[in-house]
Amino acid sequence: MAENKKIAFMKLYEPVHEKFERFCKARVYGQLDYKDLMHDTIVIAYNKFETIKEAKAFLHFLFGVAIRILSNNSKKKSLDYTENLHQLEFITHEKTDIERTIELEHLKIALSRLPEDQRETLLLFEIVGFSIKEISHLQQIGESAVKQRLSRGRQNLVQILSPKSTKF
Amino acid sequence: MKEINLDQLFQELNQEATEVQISEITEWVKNIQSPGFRFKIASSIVGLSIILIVLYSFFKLNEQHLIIKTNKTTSVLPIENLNPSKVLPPQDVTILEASTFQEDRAKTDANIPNEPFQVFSFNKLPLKTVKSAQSTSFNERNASKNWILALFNIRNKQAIVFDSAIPQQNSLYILDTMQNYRSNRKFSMDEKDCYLQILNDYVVISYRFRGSMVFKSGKIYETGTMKLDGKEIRIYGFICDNRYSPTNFGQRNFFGVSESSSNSKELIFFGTNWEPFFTFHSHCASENERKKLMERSSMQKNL
Repeated sequence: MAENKKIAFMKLYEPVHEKFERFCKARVYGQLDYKDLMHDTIVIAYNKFETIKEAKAFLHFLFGVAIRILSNNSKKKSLDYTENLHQLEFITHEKTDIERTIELEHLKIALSRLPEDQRETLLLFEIVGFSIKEISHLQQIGESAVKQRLSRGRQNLVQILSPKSTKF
Repeated sequence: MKEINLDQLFQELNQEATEVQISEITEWVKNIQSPGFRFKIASSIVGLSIILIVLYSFFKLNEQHLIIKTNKTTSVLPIENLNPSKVLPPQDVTILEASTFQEDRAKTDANIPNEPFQVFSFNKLPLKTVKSAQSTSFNERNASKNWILALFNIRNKQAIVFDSAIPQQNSLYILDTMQNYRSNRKFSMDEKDCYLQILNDYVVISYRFRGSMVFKSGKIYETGTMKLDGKEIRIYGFICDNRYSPTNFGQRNFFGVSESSSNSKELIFFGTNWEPFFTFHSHCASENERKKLMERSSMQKNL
């Protein structure tokens, strides 16, 4: 029976794995190891798997768990990995364009500089592909608040990423 | 000036290759034990214990003397629940001038120093109040005679051999990562100078993990060897003192040292009932690392 549960869980998880990893990576960049967040989320999601009534709800359920874990952990002190930006030198991507890689790393660093609520909302919208209504349900805020966070988040990102920015 | 195209950047981010493979996730899911499984184990142990009690009573009743004898042993103190009023506050409990482990060997058969102190509870197990000239270590010989004590302070007697090997060593291990013993995932320490030192019969461990500082120091009072998952490891038991910090004062700790390669060691800490709890992956400190720790120590005068 446990085996069936594991198979059913992995069947629902596999299609959303890439989105989930990208969300976790960008969401906790510079704060903690994204694999920790992935692991903790998967353990809790698996243990509460029986509460999911239909397969369509799995994506919401998974991200809901991740968001709750992050809000519970938000008060703990965390190690700032972005202190030493020269760590970019150690990123090895064998098959991708170096410039593109550095641009993406700058985007992640810029995202990590945003307030948490704006960062999370932007990632749920841009990476995971949730609608404004779905994000409003997940974060338990109004739709106008979601739109405001998206708009301000994008503005802040452009400011941070612009060439004259001293925020790096 | 290059304009920032956020849409394009997010699009590229969405195409970035993932690092975690599905096989790794499958492994995580495979290792998850549902709470129900633990409940089954716990209820099996309780059921087995009840059967053992019934059988023992049955056999005892069939002996020549119908009255069940109480098995009094003089070298093992009765377990008593700790009464807060009996427990001395840490500042009243002084650590005596420590004679070396070797000198105290002759005084007791359990090879520990004769220091009167009270042992506080560890993980809610009631421990014995220790008076002078009496052992804090659980006497394995008497455990076999008094099975009730053995039942509530279970140790795997096949796995552990306590000996009187004196830890004549000066080892300094720099802690690199930590993992739950039964899990594959490793977590890095917050800082690079987390360490465990064994200096003759004294242990100090200091590390910072997920923002929390842990510091423990104390005298080793018990050593031995243990077979754990087919590997023989050397184990040490120490009780935290208040020499550097009052936190963890009186807490009993057991850990084992196992060699994983010539320079790296695994330091396995045990929880209740000798269940391995978590492991530190460490390496022997280089001269430079040792020097930096000494410098820090002399600046702070208290690691």
